Amino acid sequence: MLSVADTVLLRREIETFLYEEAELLDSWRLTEWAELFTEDAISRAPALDDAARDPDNSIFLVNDDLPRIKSRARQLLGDTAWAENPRSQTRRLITNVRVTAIEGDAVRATANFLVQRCRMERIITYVGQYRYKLVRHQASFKIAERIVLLAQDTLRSQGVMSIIV
Amino acid sequence: MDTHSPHRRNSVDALFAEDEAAGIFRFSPKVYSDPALLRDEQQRIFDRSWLYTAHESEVPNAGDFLTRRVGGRPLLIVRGADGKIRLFHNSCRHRGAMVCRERSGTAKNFQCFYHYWTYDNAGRLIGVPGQDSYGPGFAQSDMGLYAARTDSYRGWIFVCFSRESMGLVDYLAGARDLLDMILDQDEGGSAVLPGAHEYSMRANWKMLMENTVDIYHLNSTHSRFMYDYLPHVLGLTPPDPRTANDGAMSPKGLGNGHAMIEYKKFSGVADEAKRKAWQAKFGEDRANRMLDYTRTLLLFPNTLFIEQRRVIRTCFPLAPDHTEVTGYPLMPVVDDPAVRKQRLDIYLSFLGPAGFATPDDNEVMELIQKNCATLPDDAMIDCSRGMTSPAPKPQDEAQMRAFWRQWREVIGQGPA
Repeated sequence: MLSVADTVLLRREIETFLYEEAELLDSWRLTEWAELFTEDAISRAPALDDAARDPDNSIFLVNDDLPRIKSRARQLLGDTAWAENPRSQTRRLITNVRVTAIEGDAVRATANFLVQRCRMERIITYVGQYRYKLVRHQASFKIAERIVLLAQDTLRSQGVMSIIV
Repeated sequence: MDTHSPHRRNSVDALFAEDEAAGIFRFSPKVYSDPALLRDEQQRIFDRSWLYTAHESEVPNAGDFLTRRVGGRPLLIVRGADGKIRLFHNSCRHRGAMVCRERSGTAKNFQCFYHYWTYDNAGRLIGVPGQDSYGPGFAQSDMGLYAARTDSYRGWIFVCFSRESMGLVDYLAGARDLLDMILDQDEGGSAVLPGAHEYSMRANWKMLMENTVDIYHLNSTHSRFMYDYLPHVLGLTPPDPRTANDGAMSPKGLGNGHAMIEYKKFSGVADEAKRKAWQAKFGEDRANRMLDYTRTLLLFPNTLFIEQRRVIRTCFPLAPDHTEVTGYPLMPVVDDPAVRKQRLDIYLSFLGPAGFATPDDNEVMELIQKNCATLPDDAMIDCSRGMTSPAPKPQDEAQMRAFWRQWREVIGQGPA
């Protein structure tokens, strides 16, 4: 059980980490972003109608392990990810950061997000909640789990999700 | 007035430039952008064709239901207490409000919240508050949910909003044999898994029908998938587009606007025991085609099945330049867990709003749309590849021409 002061401190550390991650994504420093993940990391966006399903028996929007996380980053940085060439301008607002569990060396945290994407005169927003499992790494963290829960019932209004949300 | 006239036929034919001997097949960009043509499509295509609606595996038990918009119409698909699957317009017979507003579930009854009219899961009206206020002509038994014409083929449920159109089996024509060839491979049957991708594009629906049976664009539009994901994540050598499909069957129309392409599997060699068994069961040639090649089936007007990725894809136009797209994963019921995992990865790595291919397809179709809305009517779109070849290849466009010829025929004719 952490003291109130320690909980506040931990939340501040996590906020700092998430803001830095957001900056890497918004500035398209995706190689550095992919290096934030642990070797056994998972990065997922579950289906919009039920976040609790088993990814081995249903379809997600994103279900990446580390090789796929790195490939996604490489693809988006290359010049043949046509949907992001030219690239979207994005800005992420991250709020409501909460520490939800401490599991030994790992911390579970949630945060709300609003990602605005602008490209070719069209503005698209994605809103939802991140669920992270972070593990201590040097003076900061590495991401062991990054789950993106979009708070919407379909992607009809956005079309696609060609950026990393 | 929607009447048959030679003038109409001519005006639709004028959208096309076809010269068989010269190998030219072109059409006006208007086909993608004209709102009047979209109204014609609603009346002449979506209101008369058999449209893929759902898979029986999505409503396995009595009372299971789905709500889904098909051909622009809100439907309630429900398996009754008697085990029978029925399709209804999701509309209360009293004032027309939507009766069921859940996406899926299990229910004995459906109640409209406007005045609490209640229907059972076979669609019968079983509750009308204050029924004594109705006269002798009002029979509750006449006022069940309005049924839509439905039929199914090997678990695929279709709807047809016309009572006059031909039956489903006749409608499927040569596509039936291809469906058999695909579905026979799932020896324990097939089922739609949860997690349908529901997204959209700012482009005409017909482009998606063409794009999904277009092999020619794989190495360019999907360069990042072919040259990053395949080699660097899966360790596969991307096939050489010049020789990848040597020996594959020519793409072809299957009647009524349906079409197919067949191409070589990227990877994986079937085990010999399975090959022997399938050769005995289906014949040598058919079994080899099933095992060594993979197919994409286009069911006119708006359904596709990509066998390799196992997606049933449907679309519907909200406007000439705005299309809803839905992809349902259809997987074998009996599946080795490791193989299932691989299938899901093959599906998800390529398809869907965050896949490594779908966003790029959307991008190119949206670029086409922007031009088609403003190009002169005679700045024709080309669809001529392989037209003079005696044996067109999968990377040709014969399959698209089969779709377009049916479209031209149906849009050009009067009411059936």
